[in-house]
Amino acid sequence: MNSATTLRSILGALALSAIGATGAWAQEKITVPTEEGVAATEVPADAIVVNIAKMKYQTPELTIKTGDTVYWINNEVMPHNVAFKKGVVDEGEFRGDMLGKDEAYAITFNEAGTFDYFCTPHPFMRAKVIVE
Amino acid sequence: AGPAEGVDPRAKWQPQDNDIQSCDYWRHCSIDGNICDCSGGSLTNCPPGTKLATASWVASCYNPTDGQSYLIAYRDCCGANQPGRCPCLNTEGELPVYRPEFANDIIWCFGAEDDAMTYHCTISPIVGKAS
Repeated sequence: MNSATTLRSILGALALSAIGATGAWAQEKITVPTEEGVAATEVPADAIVVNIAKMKYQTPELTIKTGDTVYWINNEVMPHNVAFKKGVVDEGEFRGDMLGKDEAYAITFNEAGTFDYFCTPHPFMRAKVIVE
Repeated sequence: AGPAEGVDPRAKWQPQDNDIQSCDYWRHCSIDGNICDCSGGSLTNCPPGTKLATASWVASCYNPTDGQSYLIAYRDCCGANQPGRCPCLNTEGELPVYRPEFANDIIWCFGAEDDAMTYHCTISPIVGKAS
């Protein structure tokens, strides 16, 4: 074990220990049509969209109705995803697929509530979906 | 395949495009750990029996062959002890841990199958063109 990687172990544990296990793909509160990201061109024209660019979810607070589907589209080369901490959409944590540039990820919200989410490798990227 | 004897470890990064098991291969410009190609994996694939993480740090690396820069997503292969082969540490454009997207001191095993969090090695896949 080299010293650099030992340091990685320590810092990694300190910095991101809050990020845990992947949750299941189908919960009651949300439904995920496809586990993997799809091409942004496949997103319907009238879809509810949250763009991701410049290390930010461009719509930090989105209000939708029960049953609506939200599409996240990554506009930059830096990979991003959508993740929920334990207890938000399920007992465990939910972690969406990492999206490359011009890839999209859909989540349908089946229950009313406020759903805070973040980006797994970039925990400072946060936003919420309010389902009425 | 660490720095060759007699090479100044503080000298400017000089990328090459002919040996992926060498620390100065252009895609390894911000790698920290071990090159997976040296322990049964490849430049972009994990060795058998290890788990590929989804999250990663990134860096923009200059390719001397075509003069372009590409974003490399350094994803770790996890769930097995370190191979000890081809250790490297490069920090082109690397930033402190409070900017995790460019921080390579973190164990980037998040999202690996079976919640594997033990570091084994790192791959250097291109995720797109950088500016």
